[in-house]
Amino acid sequence: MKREQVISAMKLPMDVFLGELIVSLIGRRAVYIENYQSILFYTDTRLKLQGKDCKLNILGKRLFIEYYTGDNMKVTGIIESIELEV
Amino acid sequence: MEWFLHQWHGFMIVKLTGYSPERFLNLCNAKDIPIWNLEYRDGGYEFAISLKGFLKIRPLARKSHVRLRVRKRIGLPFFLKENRKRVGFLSGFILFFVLLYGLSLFLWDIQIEGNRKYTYEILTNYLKTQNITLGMQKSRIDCDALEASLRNSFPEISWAAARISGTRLLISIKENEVLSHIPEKDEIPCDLVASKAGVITKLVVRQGKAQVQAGDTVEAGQVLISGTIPIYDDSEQIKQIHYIRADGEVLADTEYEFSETFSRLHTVEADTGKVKHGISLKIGPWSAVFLLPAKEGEEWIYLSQEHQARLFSNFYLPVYWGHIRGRQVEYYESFYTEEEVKQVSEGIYQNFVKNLSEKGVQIIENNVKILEDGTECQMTGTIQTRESIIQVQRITIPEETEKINEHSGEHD
Repeated sequence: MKREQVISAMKLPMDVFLGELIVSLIGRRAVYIENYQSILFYTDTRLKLQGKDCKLNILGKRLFIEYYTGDNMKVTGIIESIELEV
Repeated sequence: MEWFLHQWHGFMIVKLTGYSPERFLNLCNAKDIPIWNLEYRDGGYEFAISLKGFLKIRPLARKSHVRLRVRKRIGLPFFLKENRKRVGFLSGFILFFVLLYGLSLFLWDIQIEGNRKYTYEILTNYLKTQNITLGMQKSRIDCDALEASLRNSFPEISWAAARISGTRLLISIKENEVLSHIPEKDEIPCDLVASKAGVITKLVVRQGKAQVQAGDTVEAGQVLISGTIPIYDDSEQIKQIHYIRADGEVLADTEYEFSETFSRLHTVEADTGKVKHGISLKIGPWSAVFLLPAKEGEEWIYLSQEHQARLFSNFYLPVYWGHIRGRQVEYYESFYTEEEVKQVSEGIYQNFVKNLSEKGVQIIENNVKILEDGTECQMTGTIQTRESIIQVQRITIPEETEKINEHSGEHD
């Protein structure tokens, strides 16, 4: 049995046990990212983060990292697109 | 709160340039060094880092081949370091806290609540007699003793609580709502006589013997209810006379003559529209007023509002400041118009009626007329009223009565 099936059968939260990326958008002006592993690239127009099994690209203007801690981050600015790269 | 902690511990704005800034950021994250407000600017990065964190990042910077440059130092540790050589500033800073502490040892405000019968002035004057005044040391106030002395000195105060909060003395009292003593019943023999002439409309006798009845016209001084009760024997001879205190209720229709004159000429106060402002300042026993003086011949009316300075809700200071607002006025003589004459005369009449109402007199009818005579107005007329006309009059017991009573007593 796969790990996902076990977690699903036990009704446990998938994101916590699998350490998957959680991205929450507040309109176009802010984005919260949880469970990221590291910052791969950062400029004022692009932010690339490493997740557990994928990479996250945030494109926009005047991107500003308000805070980042061990596993979560708040980015503000004008968000134009969010892409996943496997 | 977070802002306050950052200011308290101190933080820096650091510029980051070099080969692999992302690696440096990830290393900081791995070592639990908090970084915030990270921004890409002019090919480099700027971020905020705590002073404690900054001391740990040198090896990380070397490892990731980046250069760090401190752009700004913010917070209390840096402020103190920068100003450590400014003796005057430092001594002023310390003096401020010393003064603040010194002032907090004294009493600067007294607040009393729950008083209805006793005014603030009565109670503060009493406190003065107990040596509790503004400006005294707080430690010399014994709140328990003050509570007890308030209760003992004012019998109507049934409950008192005193406490010191900051530089204020807060006193809460509760006054008795019932009489503290029952008035003694007067048993001296008396008649009830008419206090003024009128026609009786209602007569209720509770004790004594009625001498008049409803509809009778009485004169002032006439006995209405007598306190002299003769007891007759079988031969209708006076056997004994009892003297009691007459009691009852007597209402009568009465009349009041009303006559008032007032001048049609009166002084009018008119605003010129000019206004000026000033400030008053009082520190302890010294006071000063900052206000432009009035020119000669000008009339000004000033209104001042005083406030007491305080630091927090209960830390009052002996500093009072006030805003003074002055408005220029002119006075001139003028005649009342017809409308104003009516208003003034109505005011005078209503005042007279109010005085009567307070005495329990009820107005039935009035026919007051206003006569204007050149510069004067005269109001005359009679007012029909209904009121209680009883007046207590002591009975002088004649010697013969005493003899009758003694004689009757021997037979018994």
